[in-house]
Amino acid sequence: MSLTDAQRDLAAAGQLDCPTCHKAFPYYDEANSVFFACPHCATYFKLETGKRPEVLDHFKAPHFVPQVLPLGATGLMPDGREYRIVGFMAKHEAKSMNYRWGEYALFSPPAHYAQLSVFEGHWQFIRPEAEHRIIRPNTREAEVRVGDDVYELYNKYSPRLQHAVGEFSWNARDSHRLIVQEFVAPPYMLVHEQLHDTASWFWAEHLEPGQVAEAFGLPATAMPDRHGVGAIQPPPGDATWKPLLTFTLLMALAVVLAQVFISTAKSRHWVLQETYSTQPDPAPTAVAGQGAVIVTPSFEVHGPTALNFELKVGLDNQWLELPVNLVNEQTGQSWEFTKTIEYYHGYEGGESWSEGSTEGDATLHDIPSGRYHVNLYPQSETGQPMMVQLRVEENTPLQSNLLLMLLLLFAWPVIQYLRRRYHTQQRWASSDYGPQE
Amino acid sequence: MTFLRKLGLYAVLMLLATAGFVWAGLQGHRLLGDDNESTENLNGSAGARRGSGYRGGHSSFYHK
Repeated sequence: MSLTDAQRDLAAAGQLDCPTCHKAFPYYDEANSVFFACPHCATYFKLETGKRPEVLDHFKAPHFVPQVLPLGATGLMPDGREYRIVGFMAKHEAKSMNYRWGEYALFSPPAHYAQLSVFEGHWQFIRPEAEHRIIRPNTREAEVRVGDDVYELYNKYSPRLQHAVGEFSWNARDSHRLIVQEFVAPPYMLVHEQLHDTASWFWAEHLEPGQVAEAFGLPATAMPDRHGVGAIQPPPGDATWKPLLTFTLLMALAVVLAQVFISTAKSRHWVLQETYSTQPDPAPTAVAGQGAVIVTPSFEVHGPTALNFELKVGLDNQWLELPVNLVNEQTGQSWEFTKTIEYYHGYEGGESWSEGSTEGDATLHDIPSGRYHVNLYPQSETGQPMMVQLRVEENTPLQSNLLLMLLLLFAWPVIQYLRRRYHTQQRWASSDYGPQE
Repeated sequence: MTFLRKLGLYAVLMLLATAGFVWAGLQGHRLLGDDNESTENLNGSAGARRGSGYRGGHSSFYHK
């Protein structure tokens, strides 16, 4: 089996003997690695060319943060480079051991370095970055601007090293001297590390656990479970959020224009405008208050269309129930609706009051072409005559259709907006900075 | 129009819904709700019609 160039470059540079347990382990960055932590006994020592190993420490917390990616494993990272895992560190924030995370040192020959960090199951790929300027430093509102993106201060801490294995080109024990500030603009982060007078910048990007597992050829089940929302974990639907907004606004505009077009193409007009006076039903079987049937003149409907019925009744402190029956004179097909119209008013306690209305309306739809008339069956409390005005409009615009369509268009964006907002709130709930509730 | 590719099936469904909205508007078809209370068929005979109780239902509406 022949090795590819990348595999040959990533091959071990040699073997080291641990000065404590004397077991051998491989190392990869011959040119720059100076500090080593034995993967067998966690002895931390410094080894420079031509010198004897200098033991610096013995780490004793191998399980402080579980190491899921083995030393020596290789994987293709988002920058397109093949990296090998050459070191692992378990750290926590100085203020609390509850804030603990793992950092994997990545090396890609000849001299490319990166890190993978994992905190509560959230992964970040971290690389060295050019210097940036912090706006409003040493305030809660500190931020960094890169182009149009604003990176907001998310965390400020000093790390403590609990455990390490592998090789490092820097002294991993110097971590406790660092003051780290993290600025987030999900799915990215800018990290500012201050060591005395020296500042270093790093750029981190969010990785899904599945991406890490796939890159290093591990099963997804090997990845630690995620808890909460990661510092730069993108909100749900991040990739499609802006296209969704653009699409929705364009479609909403198109729908409104379509409604205008429909209203114009099918001009609304009155097909019936009549005024009647109700009369008591002379039939001996009529019940009290029942009025005689009112039959309108015939009128033509050019369908299929929607008809809007407007009723105005001369009411005064009484009610009128008005069943309305639209009849197709050719087919006998009928449509029916009932409007109960009531209007009461008075003067009480020094104030005028009124309730109800003297008007009512209803819309019948899918009315085919044909000749029609309307029957009205008035029923009131007293049966006394009252004026009833009936108007029927053809091609009445169905505004409820427009409302329904707009609701449908905005439903998913609104749901996504709420999900994203909740996600962002959860992110900042884990921070001492950011938006204050 | 790259957003159409990104939104995929969702965009197709919304475009179809909009087409349905335009069709309904041109046909005078109401998509939500119906004021019609009649269940009569084309022969004018009533089915199980709703109606206010005290009127007992109109067993035979007036036809010209």
